[in-house]
Amino acid sequence: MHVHTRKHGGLGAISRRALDGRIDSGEVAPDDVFWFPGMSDWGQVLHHPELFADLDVARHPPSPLHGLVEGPPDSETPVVHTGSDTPRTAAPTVLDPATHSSPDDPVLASSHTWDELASESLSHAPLLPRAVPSDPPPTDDALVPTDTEQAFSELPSRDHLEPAREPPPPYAPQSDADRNMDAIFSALMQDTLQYRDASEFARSIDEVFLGAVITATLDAGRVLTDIMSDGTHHFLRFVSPTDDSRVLVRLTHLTGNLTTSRVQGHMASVVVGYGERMSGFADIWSTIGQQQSTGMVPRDAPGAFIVDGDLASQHVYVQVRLYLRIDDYVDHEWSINYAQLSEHLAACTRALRIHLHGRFG
Amino acid sequence: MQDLVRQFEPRTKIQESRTEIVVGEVIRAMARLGFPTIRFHIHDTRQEVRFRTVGHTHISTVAVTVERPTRSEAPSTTLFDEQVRLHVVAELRQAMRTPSELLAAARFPVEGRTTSDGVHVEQDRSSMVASIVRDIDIGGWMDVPHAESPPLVELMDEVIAILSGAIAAHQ
Repeated sequence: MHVHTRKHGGLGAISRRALDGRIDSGEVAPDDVFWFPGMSDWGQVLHHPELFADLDVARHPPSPLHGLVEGPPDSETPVVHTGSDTPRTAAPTVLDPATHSSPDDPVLASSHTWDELASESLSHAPLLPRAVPSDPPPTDDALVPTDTEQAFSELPSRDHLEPAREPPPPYAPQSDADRNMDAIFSALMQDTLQYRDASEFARSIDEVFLGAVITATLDAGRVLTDIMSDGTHHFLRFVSPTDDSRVLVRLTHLTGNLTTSRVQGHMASVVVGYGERMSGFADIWSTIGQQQSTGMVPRDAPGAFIVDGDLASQHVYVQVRLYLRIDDYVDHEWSINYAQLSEHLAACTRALRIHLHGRFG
Repeated sequence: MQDLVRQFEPRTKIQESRTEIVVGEVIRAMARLGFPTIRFHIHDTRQEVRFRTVGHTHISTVAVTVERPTRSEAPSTTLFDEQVRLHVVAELRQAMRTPSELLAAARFPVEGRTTSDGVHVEQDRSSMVASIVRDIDIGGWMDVPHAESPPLVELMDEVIAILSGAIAAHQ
């Protein structure tokens, strides 16, 4: 159905379930109007039996009915005009549309005030419209009328209601001064969005590069078996299904903010490791341990080859730390030079494999 | 650097890394389609990768979450071992620069709806989001190298076309 509110204007096509939520939040008031295909005119939410049953009257006291109610909104006995100009004291209640179909009937003729209504349970039998169906809840489809909506569609026109209000026209500048101010604001917004995009690029480029490394390594015939991040470093492990060799990558973005990256470009520290399951692992493991205990093995030095082992899988690894310019692989249009990256990664793993086989093969 | 090897859980079989393998193939498929990665959210049970679009009319970003379906959701134990679920969410961010654009965005209804092909579309201010779920069977290609032919390109291409169409239809 379509709903038009005094406070927010038109809500467009809306499902019953969505409308329930808006009634509950107070966005839709009892005297707001609704329409669905088949209705000859807009009707007030107040007069929709199913919807009215959902209204929390205590939390949403009615605003004065359009053109019908005078007096302060918190008055216990609002003055209601009937079809004539003669006011009488009354409070609104819900009528069964099947039995109160006269367009001249103001449908506000109960002895209950709103406060009385609020103090009573909404399940109070006399106040419940008889037309509420006992069927399951209506469909979510906003365009399919419920039984009650269908009943309403058969009612004659409710000419006594205020005509549905059209949403106000969209904003349009009225003068050159307006247009000038709008242009200034638009330029400020444009600059803001450009800065936002540049900052996002600076923050994201290491993850762009990480995805590119994954793609290039998979293109070389490996599969990704591990991916982790500790907030500073990204860790990847790849395995070759054919020979069980493994490639490890630790990627650290060194220029993660916009200012630094504009001065230095985007740099990354990348540790690349290559490992194979080696025969005589126990001897190799022992040698690695002895070398590390001497303190003479370079630790985490860029360009140095480090040998390590994985006791669980019995792989022996050779690793090297490199500094790479991410800008060489990812440009500012988010385009990635996969051919160059694949070649560089292949060169790294080849060098590490040669070293591994040269020492332990 | 010497701790790099020990950063990873000891795994002796590729099959222990089903989810990660799919994540890798999703990334490669999206790269083929022109979507670079911009964000990784790695959890024990599910992994989300966000991609940026370049020059796409109806999509700004795509987020793909890879997770294993629960046992109760899988048709059988065998299929459970071979199934991975993809949640794919496409978002269109509409940049607003003028007062009239800002006003129009503020009037957008905030409502979700699901189309007949299972795409859920939501609209919120300057953003429209379409999402879909796909279960994929990885049993057939788990152990086979796919250096030349990324196995998920066709699927991701189809899914993105569906989501893009859904967003375009609701714009």
